[in-house]
Amino acid sequence: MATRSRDCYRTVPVAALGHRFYVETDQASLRDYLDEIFAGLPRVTRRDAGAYRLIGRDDTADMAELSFGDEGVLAGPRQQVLATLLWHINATAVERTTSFMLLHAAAAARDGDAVVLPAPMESGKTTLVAGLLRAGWTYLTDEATAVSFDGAKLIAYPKALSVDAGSWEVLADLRPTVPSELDGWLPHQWQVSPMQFPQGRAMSARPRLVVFPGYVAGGGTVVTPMTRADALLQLTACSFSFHRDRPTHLEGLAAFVAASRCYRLQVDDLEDAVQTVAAMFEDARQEDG
Amino acid sequence: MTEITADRLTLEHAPKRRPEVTAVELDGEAVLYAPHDQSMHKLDRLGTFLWNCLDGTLPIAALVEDAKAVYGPTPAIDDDILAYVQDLGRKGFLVGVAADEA
Repeated sequence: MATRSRDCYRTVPVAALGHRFYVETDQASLRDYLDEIFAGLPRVTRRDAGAYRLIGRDDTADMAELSFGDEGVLAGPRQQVLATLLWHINATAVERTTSFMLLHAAAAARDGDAVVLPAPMESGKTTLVAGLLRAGWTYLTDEATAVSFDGAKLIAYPKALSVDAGSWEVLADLRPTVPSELDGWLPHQWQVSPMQFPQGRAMSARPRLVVFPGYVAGGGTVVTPMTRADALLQLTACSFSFHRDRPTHLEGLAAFVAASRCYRLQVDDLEDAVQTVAAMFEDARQEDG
Repeated sequence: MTEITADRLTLEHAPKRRPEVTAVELDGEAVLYAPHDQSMHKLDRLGTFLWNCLDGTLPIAALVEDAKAVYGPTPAIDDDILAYVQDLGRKGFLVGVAADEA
């Protein structure tokens, strides 16, 4: 429930990993929209959270201003400003989360065991994790997977799934419903709340499967087993935090990989990819116990 | 300590891995992190076997004999293992052996 203060509406304060925040805005519908897309994140107290201020400019209907603490004010087109807010939340979550290793990876879980999908941008990991959610998996993240330093536990960052236009057709049933008054605000990207899936999200899971996805149009589905050493090398290149303490991260990621089966997965069809991941996952659980 | 170049390593030398190199082993393959240039390297099974033996007490000639026992004799195993150890030296992994300039 929001609190109205003067002409400002506040979102529920939440935590994006180590970044605790809420948003103040002068647009009630924008507050409601942001509350919906932040709904997967754990709630925190307001006194522990920093405040973003997102205000529509009075002098022009198309412009807005964004500020966060003492970081100065960004002024620009509303779409750009809202996109910057979402980017800043993710970037600050990565920057402020130091009690875990952070992988640039999507992740989903089944019965407490997780598949981790490390990949750079535009590799299809959000699309693939959305497909897994549609198939009944529980959601951990589409962007940053937090791993305990002993490699034994994954912590969720259950932000809204950021679905690019290239995947809108294959994920058409996930299209969010947005009030028309927000048309001028929304970036050219869907923000899909994980709370719309009945199975919701998991807050933690054990590592079981690591799959490096890559989309190749017309390339079919190709599964390539990887040695754990090769997977570890690849993971160090997919880590937001590796540079902070390379030796400690190397040992922690080695422990994480040691608990997992590792594969590369080339895909060109989402349903095939989901079924293939599910089959690999079940094989891993049956053989490893 | 005066360092030698890697190509001057011979079968009589007893190389020692640098203690500041972080190494983890997974299924017989090692991944190494070299802090002097922040590089990452993967060693195959033979390389991992050699790495684990490089404690400064065993001459490379002894490593050759140990490798023959584990992997079987091959025609050029002496030269192969010497070359492998020299390569580790060039990458900066050995005490007293100068890394190649990047």
